[in-house]
This record gives sequence, C-alpha cells and structure tokens, in this order.
Amino acid sequence: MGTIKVSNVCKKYGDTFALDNITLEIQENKIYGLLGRNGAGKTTLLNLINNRIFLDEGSIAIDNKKLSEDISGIRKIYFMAEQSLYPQNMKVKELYNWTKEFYPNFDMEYALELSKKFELNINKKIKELSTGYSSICKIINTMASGAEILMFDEPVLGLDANHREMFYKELMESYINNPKTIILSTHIIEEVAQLIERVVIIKDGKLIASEQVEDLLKGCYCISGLNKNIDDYIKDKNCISVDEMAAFKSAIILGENGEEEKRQQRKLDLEVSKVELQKLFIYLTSDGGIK
Amino acid sequence: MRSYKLAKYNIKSILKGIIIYYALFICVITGIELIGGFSIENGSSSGLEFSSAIFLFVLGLNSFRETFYFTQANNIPRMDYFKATAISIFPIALAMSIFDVIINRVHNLISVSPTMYDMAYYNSFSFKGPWTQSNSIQTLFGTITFLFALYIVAFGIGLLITMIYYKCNKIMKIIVSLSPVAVSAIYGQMVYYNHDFGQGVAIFIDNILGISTKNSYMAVITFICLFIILMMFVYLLVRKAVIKKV
Repeated sequence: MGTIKVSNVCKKYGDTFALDNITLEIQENKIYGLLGRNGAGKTTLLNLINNRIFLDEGSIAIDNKKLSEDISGIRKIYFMAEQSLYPQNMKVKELYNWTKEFYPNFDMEYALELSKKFELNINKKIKELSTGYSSICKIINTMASGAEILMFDEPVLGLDANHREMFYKELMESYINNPKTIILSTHIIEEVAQLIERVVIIKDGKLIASEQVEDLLKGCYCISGLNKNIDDYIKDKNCISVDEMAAFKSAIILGENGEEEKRQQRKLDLEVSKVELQKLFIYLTSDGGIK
Repeated sequence: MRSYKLAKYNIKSILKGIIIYYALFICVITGIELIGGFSIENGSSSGLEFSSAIFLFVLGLNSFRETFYFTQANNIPRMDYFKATAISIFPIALAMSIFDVIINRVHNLISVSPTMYDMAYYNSFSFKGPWTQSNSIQTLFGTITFLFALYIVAFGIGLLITMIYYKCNKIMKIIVSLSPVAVSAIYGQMVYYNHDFGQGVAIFIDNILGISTKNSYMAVITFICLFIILMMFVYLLVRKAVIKKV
C-alpha cells in the first residue's frame, strides 16, 4: 500500500485560504509531480498530510486510515522538507543511524553507497554542510528510509546540474527496483517532466489538475511554421502561447488535433509536436489560465 | 516503541552535557578545597547539589526545539515526543541524584558539606554545632528520592517555560517574562497589608514540603505532583505545536 486520500481539505492563515477545498487521491506506487507557483500551497499540503500542521476542514487518510483517528499512518511516509530539521551538531552517519531507529526498513548499505556516489562526507556535521550537500544529505536519508511513501519538497535546492541528474537517475533506479509512492514538489518542471507519471497542479490554494501527465498533454498541441501561416492557423483557435523567432513562430493550441486541423496544418505547411509540461503549466497557472 | 527509541536519543544527546557539567563541578569543588587546604576548619559548603537542579532547569530550557524538530523530521507523533521527554528525564534525574550523593559523601570526608536534605530533614543538623553526616540507608534513600523529585521538577519548569516562549508571540513573551516580578510584587503587597496571609502561605509551604515534621517524602510527593501538573501543561502545548520557519 501507500495511498493517500485528501478530502475537502481547507487550511486558512488568518483570512487567507492557503488551501481551499482540496480533494485528491494519491495512488500507490506512482510518481507524482506536485506543481504550483510560489505560495500556491504545495508545502502546506505536504505538511498537512504529514500532520506537521493542522487541518481547518476536511480529512486526510493514509491507506484508508484517517489521520484524525489513527496517526500511525504517517510512519509510512518519509517527508524531505525544504528546511533542515536535523540537529545541527549531529554527524551525517549518526543521522543515518538514528533514522534507522525510527524507520526500521532504512537501508544503511544503500545510504552509504549513495553517500559515496554523491561524495557526501558522512563524518561531517549537518551544520558544516553546504546548501547543496545539506539537500543531498536529506535526499539520501529520504531515499534510504525504506518508507512506503516518499515526499520531496524542493529536493534539488542548491544542487548543481551533475548532482541533479544523478538524483533523478538514482530515484528512477530505486523506483524500478522497489516501486513506491513518490511525490516530488518542485519548480524545475523541465527536469522532472520525464520522471513523473501523474501531476497535481495547485493554483492559489485550489486544485486545478490531478491526472496522468499524458492525459493532461493530450488536450493540447504545439505547431510551428512561418509567421504568416501560424497567424492564419491560430486566428480561430484557442491559442495559449506564441513564441516568435525571426520568420518563424510556434504556438500552443488548446483543443483536440482532429482531421480538420491536420488538413489545415498540411495546407499551411506547419509542424506539429507535443507540448512541454512546463509550457502548459505556465499557461494553467498564469493569470489568464484557469481561475 | 518509538517513544523509547526517542527517549534513548534524548538521553544520548544529553549525556555529553552531563559529563561536562560533572567534570566542571568536580573541578570547582576540588579547586575550593585546594584553596582551603583540605581543612575542615577552613570553611564549609552546603547544598551544592542545587547546582544540579539549576543544570537540569537549563537543560529543560534547551531541550525542546531541536528534539521536537527532529521528531517532526522523522514523522514521530507529538504524543510520542511527549512520552519520550517524560520517560527520558527519570533515568537522568535518578542517575544525577545518586551521583550527587556519592560526590557529597566523598566531599564530606574532607569538608563539611551538608546536602539540602541534611539541612531540611536531618534531625541533628545545626549550622552552629558540630555535625556528623548520617550514612544510614534511610538517609541515603531519603536524599536520593528528595533530589530525584527536585530534579524532575526543575527540568519540568525549564521545559514548560521554553514551550510557553516557543508558542507565544512577542507581547505574550514580555507578559510571561514580567509575570514572576508581578506575582512577587503582588505577594509582597498582600503580605504587607495582611500579615496572616503571609504566615498562611509560609505554613502551607512548610506543610507541603514536610520541613517542620522532618518528612522528606512529603516534599517528594509534592514535587511529583508538581511535575505531573507541569507535564500536563507541556502536553497541552505540544499537542498543537508546529515547526517554525528555521
């Protein structure tokens, strides 16, 4: 197992809704991308699921057990928070040992192997780690925790391109060898787009999408060609973005790419391609997008 | 089960501080004795174990934030954090009370150094006359239980204060900080205008600590009750505690 059911969840700070009536289901053994702009409510949602903050309304259930009735469900989750919550004087190797105490399935061998790969000095104290290595330490601890559900909140904060690449690779390898539920909350959509199966998008505390990435991208397509032809094509279409480069333009069209559209594209000599998740995300979460 | 593991973590993380404290404590006593030339006639010290109570109070003040954050990082429920904190103070307080009695007995071989228990509950103790410390089982047991109960209360007060500060905003922090001064000022005024009230309070404290009746177990019961009350407040505060932005 490793399922989470969020039902009609509301969280208010003063008069502002951080989360407004969120209902979603996290299925087991799937990789989720939790996306949203700054302050959309992603971290609030993760904190609520982990009982680190408290709900105003609604309920959250882990493996069909409501948190309000049985808190033990949170043991199945390891949540890598953005901030460092580890004792600053603790050494990395001590941290691994203590995590093993609290998560009996913690894989020490794997943690040490990852530390070697990421060149993390396990004899260093947490406070001595740079921002990047602090993230790496949290990543390794989370990945080796053996928990059924792994949650990463901005995991690549401060990581260089090499380490980011390594993290995605290791995460994928770990998932293939031992499938589990993974939630990645990040701003770097381009990098995780190939990783995630399902996407949850939050805008201003409201859920605007929770579906398969493929299904979300099916509802739109990208066309490119000469400026004049693109302008002709998009005038009676729901175009959500246009990029111009010299004599060429590319546009994202919301809607189905049917036979009539394909005929028109051939006539205007336009090329069709898949939309990038990031482009669609920008549209969905911008002021002109879904409200 | 997680509470015990967390209690183990608490004890291990406190251990280093305790070792440093005792190393300093022994050094200070030795230093005082060296200056006095190891002579009984050259002075006396009393109630040195009160410094252990202060140490545990400070430990209580410092023991909330880091441990709480660590428990949250490991998704340990707040109830388990509470249980672990309550569990971990017992062996620490017991070990420290035994250790303090041992240090005191050794110290008494070279100098007059009555414990708080000796001064408050030992019948033949007097600051004026000659005094020989009792090493009967009853006295040793009484001293250890008295110190143990005092230490857990000292820790509980420290923990509660730090949690109140953690939960409060700036204004409340100022109010909480000023409250002891306000209480003592009001009490002073009340005693000034109503002498019977002051006497009543003194008799009440005497009774709950069993000083007149020389019954240290009365103080032990009082301290344990006080510890339970303090921990009830700690529980109420920790129930809805959340991580503050680091």
